Order: sequence, then structure tokens, then C-alpha cells
Amino acid sequence: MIELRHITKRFTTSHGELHALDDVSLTINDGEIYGIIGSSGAGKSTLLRCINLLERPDDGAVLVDDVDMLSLRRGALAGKRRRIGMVFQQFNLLDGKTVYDNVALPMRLAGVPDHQIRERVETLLGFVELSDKANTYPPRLSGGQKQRVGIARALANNPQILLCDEATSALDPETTESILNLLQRVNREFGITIVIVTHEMQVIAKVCERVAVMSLGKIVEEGRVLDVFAYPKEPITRRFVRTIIDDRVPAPLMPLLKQERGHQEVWRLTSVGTSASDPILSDLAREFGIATRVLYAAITEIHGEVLGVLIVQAIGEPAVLERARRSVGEDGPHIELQDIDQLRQAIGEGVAA
Amino acid sequence: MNEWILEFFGIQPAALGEAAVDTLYMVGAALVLGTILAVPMAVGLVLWRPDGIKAHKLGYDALNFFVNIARSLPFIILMVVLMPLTRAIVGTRIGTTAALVPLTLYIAPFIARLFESAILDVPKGIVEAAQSMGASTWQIIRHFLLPEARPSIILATTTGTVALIGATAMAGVIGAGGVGDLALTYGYQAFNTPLMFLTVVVLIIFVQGIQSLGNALARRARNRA
Ligand SMILES: Nc1ncnc2c1ncn2[C@@H]1O[C@H](COP(=O)(O)OP(=O)(O)OP(=O)(O)O)[C@@H](O)[C@H]1O
Ligand SMILES: [Mg+2]
Repeated sequence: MIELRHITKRFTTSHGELHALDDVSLTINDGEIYGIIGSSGAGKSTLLRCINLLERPDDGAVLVDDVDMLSLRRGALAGKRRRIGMVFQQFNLLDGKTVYDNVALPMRLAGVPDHQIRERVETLLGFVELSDKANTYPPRLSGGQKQRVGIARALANNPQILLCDEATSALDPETTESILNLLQRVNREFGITIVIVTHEMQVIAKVCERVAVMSLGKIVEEGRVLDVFAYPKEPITRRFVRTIIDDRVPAPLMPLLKQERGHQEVWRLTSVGTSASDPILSDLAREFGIATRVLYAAITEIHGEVLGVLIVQAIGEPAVLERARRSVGEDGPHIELQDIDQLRQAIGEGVAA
Repeated sequence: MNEWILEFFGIQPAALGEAAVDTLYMVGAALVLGTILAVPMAVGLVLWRPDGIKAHKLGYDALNFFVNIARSLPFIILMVVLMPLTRAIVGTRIGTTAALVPLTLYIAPFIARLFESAILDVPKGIVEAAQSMGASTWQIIRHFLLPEARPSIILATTTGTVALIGATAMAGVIGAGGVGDLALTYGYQAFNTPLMFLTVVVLIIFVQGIQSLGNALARRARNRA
């Protein structure tokens, strides 16, 4: 278990003091894949680097498996770091050493005997599917292959934790997908806890169980990934969720709302699981005689579960609409009444963006 | 053949051979000694700099100042300034071996600067990766910084060697032998033009050869893959 308690980190820059981390607390459980997302400069990397003390916090406590990292002496800290692998955006491989020697290096530093190193490197290169590249030098590898070597190297000393700082940010979407699959295998097959820092919401959606959203040195929102996607609270979180589920009513549909003569409401329906694809609209028409018009609809897979978001215009008597809303909310999706004026604002934002 | 050489260059062939050996001896020995001194200086400059992994203001400022001072003295002046030290170490102020003292102290800071910038060119991420593996400072130097800087270090050593050849020519002033001395004694003082040209040709071949060798080694280290 990783526990960060009230972490504060300040940097002195030419523009004065900079609060890179401001009283950040976080708990990451054994065996989970935890995501940290935020815009550039939010403090994600600094926070990640506090876990293995590449960055020493000015204040607060770092506990890894109940060991107070800040109290460790140099030798003990080095030993602890060997059990915490790290993967980087720029790979940080040694260009002058072969793939084999790159992966062997952490073990050589730790004084592992040669025959054991050989066996372990072969296993690891097999695991990342690069056995045929053992004698190649990193400049000859593609980005995805380099990151595979980076991951194999990080696993060399049998770590319990893997820290990934933008591990896929330098890769194309397809390669990103394959690296994420590899990280998932690392997590499932070896039970390694993985902490992923990223600014890409699809990385969070695909592999993370829980996520923390960072902004200006603070964690502004935290929780199960599915919950955060379904019910984002903070504006920054909503912006990140929109990179996957762009739940804004398209501008050309707005006149339909304005021109409607009868009583109307706009509902946002959120549902999780296979019920996301239930025929809810025809049910509403049959049971309550309500006419509905779809303004936005999306069904997305989030960490292996289905998330449905539906925005509809509902037309009918106010009392009927209210009854219908109650009935839907009881056993169906989460229903939320939307302010039509705010919808228009959202569109303004969308056009500007 | 021997007679022909004596007649044409006005010098015993053995003296030519001796000059070549003296030059090689001075360049070789000063290069080895200078590099041995330069590596710790370069490493100190890199580790102690304000954003280095062992930032140490006083150590850095002192080392930096020393290197700058040493680098601002022309070799011919350094040679004279160091005479008392040379006598203390070698027992005499003149001769080929005596010249090694100023040559070494001339070339060490020069190479140290070049090594320093070669090491600073290693991406910062390499050091981060090393630290994340729990590498000690010594391991970072030994297994990460120096090997990754190798191609640039080879080129720096080449530049240093060429600079040394230039300096050894001046060492003739304090009675050291070598190709430079030959040119001074026979070429300049005795107006032996053929010998002058011979030394010029020999020096050009020396320098060209060393530069080509250095380039080839650096290229091999860089794209070994
Ligand atoms: N060593 C340092 N010295 C001074 N300022 C720093 C240092 N490291 C980070 N910072 C500053 O701290 C803030 C947080 O940096 P950090 O690298 O943690 O952000 P990030 O969320 O990882 O951003 P990015 O997505 O761009 O990597 C930034 O404003 C950055 O400029
Ligand atoms: Mg970062």
C-alpha cells in the first residue's frame, strides 16, 4: 500500500516560490492500477516522484507498505527503490548498451549473480515479446519497442510497484493500446501495483480502477474511474471526461428546443452496465405517452464496464413528465434535469473550443 | 640512404627517429596523466554544479575557478611558472621528462572542460532512471554517465591530443626533444629549410592521423548498433 499524507512541495523559481504540491493526500491499494490525471504543470510528475523520493517533499509523509520512506538512510532507500520500478515518457534507455544489457543493468547494480541475470533477462524479454532484439541497441528500436524494454528493465528486480510517468504519451494510439495491454498483464500476472500519470483520459478509461484528478498542485477529485466518468463534479474533471464522452448538444439541434411550443424538459440519463442499452425511450412513450427526441447519446466502455449517457428532450404535461422522471429514476438510469439555458452555454463553449 | 638523409636534411637519421620518439613519449605520457586528472575534475564539475546530483557550491566554485585560471595561461607561460614545481617533482627543470609536468597540468583542465560538457550532454532522464533503480552516485558515474558520454569523450580526447602536439613543440624551449625542437634548433636557428618542411609534413600527418582515428572510434561508439 502506498500512502501519501499531506504532501507539500515548493520550488523556488525565477518568478518566486511555486507551490507544486499543496497538501496532497492519497492512498493506493495493493494490486490496483491507479491513475493520476491533470493538465500540464498540475504537479502529477512531482507527486509520482515523491513516491520513490526522486523528489523529497518539504512536508508530509510517504509510506510504502507502512515504511516511512523519508526516514530511510541512503542504503535502505536504494533497497526500497529497487522494489519500485519506474517507466518514463522518454524511455531513458542507455543508447550505448544493448537491449539485453539495459534490462540486466538494474540487477548488476544490485549485485545479482550473472547466471541468474541471464535467466531473468530472457524471461523478461520473452514477456515483453522482444526476445529477438536482445542484441539490438535502443536507437534501432521503435517507440513502442523502446517502451517495452523500459518496462522489462523496470520489472528486473521483481518490484511490487510500477510507477509510469506518461509512459504512453510519446506513442501513437495503436502502440499506446499495446503498451496499456502490457501494463494490464503486468498487473494481473504479477500482481504489481501500478501508478499511471497521464494527461490522456483514454488511458484512465482503459486500465485504471481509481483515478485522482489534479489541478494546480491539489487533488480536486478522486474515486472509482466509472463513477468519475459517470458523475464528474469539478469543471476540470468534466473537461477531461468530455475528451471521451463529448456530451454537448450539437448546435444545429438547439433551434428545435427554442421553437418547441408545448411544455418541455431536457433530461440527462446516465446508466451503468448492460442496462445502458435498454429500450427506455419506447417504454416512456408506451407508459406515459411522452414524446422524446434524442439530443445526444453515447455508449462507452470504461474499464471493462458499459457507461451510457443519453440527453433527451421530453415533451408532455408537467405532471406527467415529473411522474415519468420518478419512475425512470427508481429502477433505471440516473436521471438529471438539465437547464436549457445552460445547454446553450455549453454549446458556446463547444463552438469556441 | 643514411648519407642521403644527412646530406639533404643536414642531420643524422638517428636524430630524426629520436625526435619522433620524444614527441610520441611526451604526447602519450601527458595524455595519460592528463586524462587521469581530467576525469575526476570533470566528474566533480558535473556532480557539484548547482543542479547536479551532489550540488556543492564551494567545491564547484573552487574547481571551476581553478580550471578557468589554468585554461587562461598560454602554455609557454605555464611552463615558466611551473618550473619550481617541475624541479620538485622531476628533479630537474629541463629535458623531455621535465616537460611532462607543465604538459600534464596544461592539458588536464582543458580535457576536463571538454569531458564536463560531454557528460552534461547525457540526457537528465538517464540519471533519473539510474536513481529510480537505487543506483549509488558512484554507480551513476560508472554505469550511466561515463558510458553514455563515451562518443563525445573520445572526440574530446582527440581534440586534447591535437592540442598536446602543439604544446610539445613549444616544450623545446625548456630543452625537451621532439619534432618541435628539431624545427626550432635546425630549421629556425640554422635556416635548414628542408628540415623545416619535413617537420611540418610530419606534424600534419600526426594530427590528421589522430583526428581520423578519433573520429572513426567515436563514430563506431555512436552507431554501434
Ligand atoms: N525541479 C523543478 N524546479 C522548479 N520547478 C519545478 C521543478 N519540477 C517541477 N517544477 C514545477 O512544478 C510544477 C509541477 O510540475 P510537474 O512536472 O509535476 O507537472 P506535471 O503535472 O507533471 O506536468 P506535465 O504534464 O507537463 O508533465 C510545474 O509548474 C513545474 O514547472
Ligand atoms: Mg509530468
